Amino acid sequence: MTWTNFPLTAYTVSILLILAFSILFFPIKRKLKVILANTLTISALIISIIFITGLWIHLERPPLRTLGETRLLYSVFLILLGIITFNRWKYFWFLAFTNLMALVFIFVNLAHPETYNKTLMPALQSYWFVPHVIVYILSYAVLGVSWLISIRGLIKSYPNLNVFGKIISVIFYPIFFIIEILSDEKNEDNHKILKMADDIVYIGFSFLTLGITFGALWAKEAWGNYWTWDPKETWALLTLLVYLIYIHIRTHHKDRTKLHLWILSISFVFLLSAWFGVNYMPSAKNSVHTYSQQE
Amino acid sequence: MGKEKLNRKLFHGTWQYKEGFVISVLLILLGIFIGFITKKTIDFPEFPLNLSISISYSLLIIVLYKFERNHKIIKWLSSIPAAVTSMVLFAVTSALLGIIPQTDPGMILKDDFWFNIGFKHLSTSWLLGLSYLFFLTSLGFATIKIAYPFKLKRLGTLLSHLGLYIIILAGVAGSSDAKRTYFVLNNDATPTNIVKDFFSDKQYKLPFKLQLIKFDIAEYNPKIVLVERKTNKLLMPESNHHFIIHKNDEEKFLNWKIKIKTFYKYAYPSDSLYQNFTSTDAFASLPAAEVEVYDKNDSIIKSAWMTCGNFAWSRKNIDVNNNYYFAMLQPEAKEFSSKVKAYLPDGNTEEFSLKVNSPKVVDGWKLYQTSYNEQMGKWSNYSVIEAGKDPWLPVVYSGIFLLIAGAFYLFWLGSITSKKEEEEENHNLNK
Repeated sequence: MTWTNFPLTAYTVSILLILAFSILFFPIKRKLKVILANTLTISALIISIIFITGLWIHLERPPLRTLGETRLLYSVFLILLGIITFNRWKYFWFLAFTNLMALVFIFVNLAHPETYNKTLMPALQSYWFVPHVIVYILSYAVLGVSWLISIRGLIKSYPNLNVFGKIISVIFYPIFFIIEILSDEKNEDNHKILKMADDIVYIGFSFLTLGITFGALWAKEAWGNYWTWDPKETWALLTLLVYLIYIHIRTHHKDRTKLHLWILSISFVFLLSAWFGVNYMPSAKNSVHTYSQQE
Repeated sequence: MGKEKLNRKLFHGTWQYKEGFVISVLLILLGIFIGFITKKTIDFPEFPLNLSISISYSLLIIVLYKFERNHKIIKWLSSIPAAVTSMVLFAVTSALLGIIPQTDPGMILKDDFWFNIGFKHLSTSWLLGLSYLFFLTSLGFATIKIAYPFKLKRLGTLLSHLGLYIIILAGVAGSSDAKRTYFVLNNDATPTNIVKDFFSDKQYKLPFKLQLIKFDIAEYNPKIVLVERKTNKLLMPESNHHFIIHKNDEEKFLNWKIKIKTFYKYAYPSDSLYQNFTSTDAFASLPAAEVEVYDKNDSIIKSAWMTCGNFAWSRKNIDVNNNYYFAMLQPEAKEFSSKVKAYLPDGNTEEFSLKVNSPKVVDGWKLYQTSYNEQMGKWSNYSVIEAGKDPWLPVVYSGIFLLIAGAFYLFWLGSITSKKEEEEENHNLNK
């Protein structure tokens, strides 16, 4: 199985996902809806996994190195995550959303077929490589969802904002955040949406913790030290800290729900910095984590 | 927070976030001030002082919590506002570390203002040290608060708090006992136990002698690309796959097809014009391929040898016209390995191979393959080895495993617990 088989796989998976997505909005019985959506999405998942396994065997290394490969993995994990979350908490919109997100990543890969490379440099040849990258991709996928929930909650929290106000609030995002920290307003409306966010943040945060600890254990084997304040490590720690702040504030001040939504949405900015923003920072010069994607 | 609380004077009544932020700012100023006055990095004391400091500090937290739990400051230190403000402070100092390029303290000219106050060596600065201390203290009090009195429901929370406490305490306290050195082992040199550090020129004495038998790089087959002469742009084949050389393989690039007739992974040119190659794995040999280039009509336009060159031989490309040529790229490394012989103090010898990602423990020292003579590549005349000893590692690892256990707990049960709590809360509210 190689990238030449990708279009066929991608279109099949896409059709299954689109069908599952549409069924969620059909006026049919809830039970039937659950069964159909599950069957279609799980079939899409199985086909994707077969393709990835084939690709892995063909490449003779895990397909986790190039951007295209991580996009592929990301879409598969979104599907998997959608199935698990859907069956545990029965959020219909969640499955619809993860399927849609997975579709976006599949289409990006179809539009930009990545040139692939069979070689893998020695530092990455470790049994820690697969678990380290997989838990990070999973946590990024999960926390990405929590960010969307926070944005949804924020939009609901400011019902009187007109279009102009919305644009202003996006541009002056940090200022609005600071105003919210300083304000004294209690807001009880967002409990339901935050409950959902909490469930998801707990999952994402536990994967984030696993990612950073696996990374430390790997680093000890490969570079002789489990922590070297490499910029990527520092930003991973920062991401962990901001989500930790969210979790702690959530348990303490249950009535400052608007502030919780703000913190959750800002946390994702740190995550993005750790993911790729760090490559553009002045400190990244000597990082072991800034890989060049193509020769 | 009502109006009364808002008008509360700082440090009066129950301490909250305001106090936390004031303390954080004071710690930042203090850190900068100490750095400015002492002009030194923090050096944590070595064994046994670091061990006794760690134990005493942990005991102090336990004892203070046991007897002074209701004291204003202790109550605050074990509260969420202290936890959050200490995390914010720690995040701010870490963010500085994540943005500002750091300099090795040994490389700094004397009296650099930014260096003195700690901005250029944050990981060993008072600034980070104090924020670390605040974080550790708050974490310590939180841990004991969760543990005492213990409830099974809080097991996951306890595991992660205790794990993190152990990691950051042992990580810092143990750093002074950790020894690390990078040194060069030359080919055919006599066994030695005195090694000179690659970076600092300091000498270290290892408890055993080491000798390099052979350094080697296993390489992938090289790739072929089409190069646009004007822009030096490397073009991929039509299939968009990297073209890794294998005998009899062929690929299409723009208007041409290239086919590999013969491929030697290691060879010598037989003549000065590189018209022929012979297979050999002798010193300085390099990859070479005999290729045929076909045009659109499938007729041969070129048949010749090409090579990527190395420190001993120059490269040879294949020109297809004035604008394009085929080039072989340097092979990528698959594995670096050093065959090393160790002479132990008890008279025994041990031969082993060091690879990236597969270190070897000899007499308490962990040995790593680190580098080599990059100009000579596979034929490097030396290997750079790292030797490290970290007696606190088991302690840090125990913390890491507690944290991992806590993370699993959070993943499986965390949300269920929080749901139960919510139900209980609703139940209580409805009573």
